[in-house]
Amino acid sequence: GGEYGAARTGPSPALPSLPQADGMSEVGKGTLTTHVLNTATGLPAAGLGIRLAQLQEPGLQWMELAHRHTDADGRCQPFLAQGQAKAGTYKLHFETAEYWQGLGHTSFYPFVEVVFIITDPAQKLHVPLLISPYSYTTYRGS
Amino acid sequence: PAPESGPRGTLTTHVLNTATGLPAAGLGIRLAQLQEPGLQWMELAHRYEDGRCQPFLAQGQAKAGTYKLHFETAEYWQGLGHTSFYPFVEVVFIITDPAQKLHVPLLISPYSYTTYRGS
Repeated sequence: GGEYGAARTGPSPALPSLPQADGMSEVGKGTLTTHVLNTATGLPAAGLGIRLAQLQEPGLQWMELAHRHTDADGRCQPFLAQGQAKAGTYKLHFETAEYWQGLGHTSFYPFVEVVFIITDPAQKLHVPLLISPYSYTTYRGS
Repeated sequence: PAPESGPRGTLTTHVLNTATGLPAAGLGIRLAQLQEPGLQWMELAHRYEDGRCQPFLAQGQAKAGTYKLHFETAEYWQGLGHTSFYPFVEVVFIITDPAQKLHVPLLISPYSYTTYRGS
């Protein structure tokens, strides 16, 4: 897979880890995006690690598809390129404890996982997360 | 809301349907504890939301460690004739002080949820 270990400060011109490169020159074009906001500060959560996994059948095993870190705007490169998403069950794993620890906070949650269903692979899907050390909220956006 | 009369426990939960403003009656909830060695989840209890704050762990029963509440939200929404974005909701959390009263509510709608640590 690609190396997305470092947080970025702005949109990158290319998506080197994805097989289809044409037409994918902007951050935000893709079928699955997220955005993490720190509701304690009212600022984006930068440098937070996120893993996407897909539930594979048979066997019902989680297969990791991507590992990213949020940039200064709390966003990262789209997780699934257009045409890459398939209907099924997915999981976003947010490495929230490490994020809070880096800010000198303890947190109630060792991590946050959001399990969701993609029914229409053509639909743009936005799965944001709002976090504070003792609360979180997620919703389906577009 | 404060728990009503009944056993005082160290872990309670409550599920609110934010689309109606009412408790999510009949929603199934499982509590599991992360066991070491082996890092396996062991189920401790399976309850159904009935509008009250039911204790999942009695006083003295909680130990410091990692726990998970698994909320059977898809079945709940399906029973009301809705589809939902999430097949279930799981909240994984840490008990550091077993003597503390802990309240882990969940607010749900078909396309959103919120949880927080209360008391």
